[in-house]
Amino acid sequence: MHHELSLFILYIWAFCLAKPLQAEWVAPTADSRYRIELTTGSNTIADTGYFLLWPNDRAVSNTFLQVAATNGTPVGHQILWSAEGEPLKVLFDCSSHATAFDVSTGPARLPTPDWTPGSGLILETRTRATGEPTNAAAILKICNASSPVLGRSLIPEIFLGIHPHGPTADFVSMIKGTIIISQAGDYDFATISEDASCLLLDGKVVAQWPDWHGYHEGRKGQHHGRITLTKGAHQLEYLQVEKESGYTIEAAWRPPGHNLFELIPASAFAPVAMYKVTSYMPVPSGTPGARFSWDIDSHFTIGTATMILVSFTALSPGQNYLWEFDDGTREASRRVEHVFLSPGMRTVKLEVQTPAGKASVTQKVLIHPQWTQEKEQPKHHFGREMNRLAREDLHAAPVADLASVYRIAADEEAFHLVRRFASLCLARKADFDAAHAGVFCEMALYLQRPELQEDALAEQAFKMITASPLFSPDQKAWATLHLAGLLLDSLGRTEEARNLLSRIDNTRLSDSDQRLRKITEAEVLFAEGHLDLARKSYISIGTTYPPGDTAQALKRQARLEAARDYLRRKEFDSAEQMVRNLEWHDPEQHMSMDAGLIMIRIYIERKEFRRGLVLLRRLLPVAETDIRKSELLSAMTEICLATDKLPEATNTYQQLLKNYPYSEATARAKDQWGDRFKNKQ
Amino acid sequence: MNCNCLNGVPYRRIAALLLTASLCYAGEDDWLLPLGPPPQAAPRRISGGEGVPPLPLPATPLRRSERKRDPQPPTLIAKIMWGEKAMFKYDNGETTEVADWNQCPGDLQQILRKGQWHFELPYSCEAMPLSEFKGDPNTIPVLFFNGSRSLKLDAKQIGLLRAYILHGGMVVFDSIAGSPYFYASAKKIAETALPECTLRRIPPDHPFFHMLTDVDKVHYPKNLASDSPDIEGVYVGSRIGILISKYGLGCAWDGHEVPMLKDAIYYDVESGNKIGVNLIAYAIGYASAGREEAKPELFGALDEKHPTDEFVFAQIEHEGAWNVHPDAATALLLQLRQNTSLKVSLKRISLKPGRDDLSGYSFLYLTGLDHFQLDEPSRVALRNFLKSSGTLFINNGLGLRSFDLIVRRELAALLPGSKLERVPLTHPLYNSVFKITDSRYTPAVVKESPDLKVPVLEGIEVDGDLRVIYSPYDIEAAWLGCDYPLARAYEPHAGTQLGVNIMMYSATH
Repeated sequence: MHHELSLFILYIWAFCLAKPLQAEWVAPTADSRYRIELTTGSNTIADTGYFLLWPNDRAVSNTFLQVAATNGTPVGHQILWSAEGEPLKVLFDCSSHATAFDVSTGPARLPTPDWTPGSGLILETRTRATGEPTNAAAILKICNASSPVLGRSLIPEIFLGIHPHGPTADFVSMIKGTIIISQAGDYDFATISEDASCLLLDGKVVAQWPDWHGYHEGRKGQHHGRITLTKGAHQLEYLQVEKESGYTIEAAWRPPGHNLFELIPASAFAPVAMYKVTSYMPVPSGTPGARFSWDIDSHFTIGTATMILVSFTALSPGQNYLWEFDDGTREASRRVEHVFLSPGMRTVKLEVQTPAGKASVTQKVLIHPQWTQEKEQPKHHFGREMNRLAREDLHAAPVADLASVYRIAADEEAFHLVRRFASLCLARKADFDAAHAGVFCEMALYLQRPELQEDALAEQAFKMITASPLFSPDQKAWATLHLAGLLLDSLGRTEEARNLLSRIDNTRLSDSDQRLRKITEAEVLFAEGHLDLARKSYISIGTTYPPGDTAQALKRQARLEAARDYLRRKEFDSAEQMVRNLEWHDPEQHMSMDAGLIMIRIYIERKEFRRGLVLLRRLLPVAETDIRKSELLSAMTEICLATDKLPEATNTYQQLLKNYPYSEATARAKDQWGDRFKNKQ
Repeated sequence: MNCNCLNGVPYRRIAALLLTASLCYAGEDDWLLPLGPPPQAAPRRISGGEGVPPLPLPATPLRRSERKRDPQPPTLIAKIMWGEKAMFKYDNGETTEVADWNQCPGDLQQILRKGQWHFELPYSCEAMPLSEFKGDPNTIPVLFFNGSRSLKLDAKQIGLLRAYILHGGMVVFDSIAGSPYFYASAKKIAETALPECTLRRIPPDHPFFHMLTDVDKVHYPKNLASDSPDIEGVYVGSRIGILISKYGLGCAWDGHEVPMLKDAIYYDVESGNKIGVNLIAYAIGYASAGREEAKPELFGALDEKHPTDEFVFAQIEHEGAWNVHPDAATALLLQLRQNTSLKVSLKRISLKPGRDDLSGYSFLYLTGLDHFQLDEPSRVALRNFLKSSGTLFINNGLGLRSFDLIVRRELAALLPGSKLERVPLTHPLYNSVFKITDSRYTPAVVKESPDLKVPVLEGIEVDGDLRVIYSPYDIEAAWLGCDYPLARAYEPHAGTQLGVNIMMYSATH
């Protein structure tokens, strides 16, 4: 028994050695306390430490903190970066080299000793101010005039190709840190950058590469300067001005005795120890709280739409966890991954069931692309998410999410999702604001694609645009024009199209849409069978080139030939593009059998039978030859059969046989459908 | 083994592989040489920065590269692989392989690239042996042979070429260094493939010489003191089915001359390129017309009978290209049937005045592209026809000036003392079915006469009635609704209305 007691005491003693004891609650105004611990592999001799903190209980602007040794003695700290919806980045005094500290947070200032960090290479980026960076002084001037600050980060070395705080375009980079010189002597420093940059040591410009340029001409250290350095710490500054897109910054050196330039290694800078939050403890006397951390893991961007994968971890111990996201989805484990369908300030709620009761917290989280992600996520990542999106109930999701998924699905040609999210957007049209309503303009056109042929949804989208106050008169005029085209070419509702066209305010249309309106008006005449009037209208619109331009006439022929070739190779979109181009530049081509027959074949191949039939009926009266007429009747038979219009198919087939018994099209029709019609009779 | 020095450039052929004596004619082997200048030695690389490795670069964001690919450009030309290969060694030690079919390997790629600039559309070419060629003009609109030695094809291969041409394809022979051997063999193939057609020199005002650029004068760097292009062709319908260039084109397309062949005749780079881009344009521009005209004429069963009370379209056969737009007449007759109460036979009759009896016909149609000559019996028959109230309608196929001159000459011989006069717009012809007050022409006419907005017909009255009608601009081109680029013609709608009026007038007067 005595022996067992000794063992127990020894166990308790060992436990206390291994895990620092929790200090007493020494900050009376604090309401939360987090334990931070040195990360595995981190520098253990650094005097400056760094950690991220997710203070969930209030806005960061109202959050005060205190870093203390585990015995409760406060140490100095400095907040490197704080912004709403983002974790705090904190530097602190870890000169005690302890492996654990406590961080208390609260709504009022907490006692903290003064302290200035002596280590750390800090990158600050800002939106670029205007100015020409013609020399180091001009670069410095531009940097100082630039605002706002986009972010601050701790970086290991000056070697970046991605802006870590936002899109990689039009910003300045300002880096400061302490370099430790172990051997006195002459040092060469070089800057390699896209666009202007300079490097300063102890406030003196050593290397500069001004003006706008790429980085290739500096990759061998061509833009360098020499400085004599004494042994010890020196302040290094690196400034760079980035115009438009692209980003590369690199600081290299050639220490005494070295022949070649090399990247200044991370070991040359004063070290920083990395700590991370490992646990949370609520105020002992208060109600239990829930806390969580998050990491933006990756993103998937297509066009203007971005989906972001974020992982959330509950810091509060508990038996059960319930996460609620503002898109209506829920998860139930301590660590969850969630895909946000669009960036922005989002709301996340965590509810934790603890032995002391239920605790919950609701937190604003700024969701943005993972800026430092080197590669776009592969397709399968998106594909997995698409499967979820096809099933999940997203009726309550923010409209920004619906618009974003619609855009990605459209770009990825995930047509089942396009249908689903277009319908969801239209069902929630009243919730849209001006920032996201533009998606209706996109979907009104996209839904007409041959793979979708969702003409009814497209019509709804156009009508939404024409009726909603979110759209400008110009957009409404555009939508009315294109709705008329849809009614005319796909739905065969000629009279409605004519009425819509008559209501358009021409002054609201762009030059090209004014031309399109005239073409559509001529098409109405063509559809109504007023052939002479239609031809006159097409001619009066005129070609986009002078009528005597023989080269343009040849181009027209070349486009037709290319369209036929694409059609033969089943490159239907390219074939259609050729014909549309042709008709745009020479509207009379709408009445040409050459272009018409190509379009009809494209419609049949793409199973756009409604459009094919509308065009066929329009072209029949203008077919010049028996060959053409028989080709049209054969195509009509094919469409009627494909759409199960048997009486019409039979009638057309009989007409073909009777009127054009010897045509090639009739011979083909007999081969293809002869038995079928014989059986019907 | 030869060892020569031409134009200061030494060359030596060291081995001719696969050559058999039976396949070669005396002297022509000397033409099998690489035609470009000898290759230059590669320049020494001089770089002051050599040995200094560049610094590493940080990672930058990578964009997805899964965007949609653009479709392959359409194939326009197939270059046929024929003949044999040989190794050639220059005096600087460089060796190269030379093949009969490919003496200038870059020719087609280069001219297609230049053509692309004009069309804003890419086209591609491919090389293939004739055995792999399927003969379908839809997939390969142009077949291209070039070389210097004699090209020999067997009967089956020539049969394949004939079928291809008649279905709308175009065959081009380029005697790439102006070799008489290749030229003679190409002519022989053309005559064997299409014995019913005559090889003719393409006239200077033919669309071929004006498609994208005007080729009025050319320059031959050596051995020929001429400034005229020498291009021959066989007409199939309105288009050139076989084209033979007697002098070299391909090297000009590749941007060089032919320094190593003393007797070579070829176009300089500028002239050759002009002809080349026009050739590309012509092939593209007339491909559709070729296929359309290749379709057989179709008639309803009733039209195969010969009723006596129907209007019959009788067309004169002559020694030249008499059938410029096959099937176009039927298309017009269909319009006549639809738009008038006239009883119309859709079957076109072809006949030869002087040989065939013209008494059963009230209307004769004559068209052509260049030279034709009526013999005396034909003239007599035609005079009698006109005296018996028949109407002769002459149409200038493609609106060529060369044909215009011949027509005027022949009419002067047919009706001495008479002269073609402009038919005034007040003439009943312009009101016989459609009321025609204005007309629209193809871009080639608009370019030449921007103010011309009315129909232009000329005529000769016989015994006070308009009995000869001549259209200096191609009317028939309009009837099929096809495009004939650079043809001086009526636009389809205008030409069809004018054609219907002419038929109706002829049938009722």
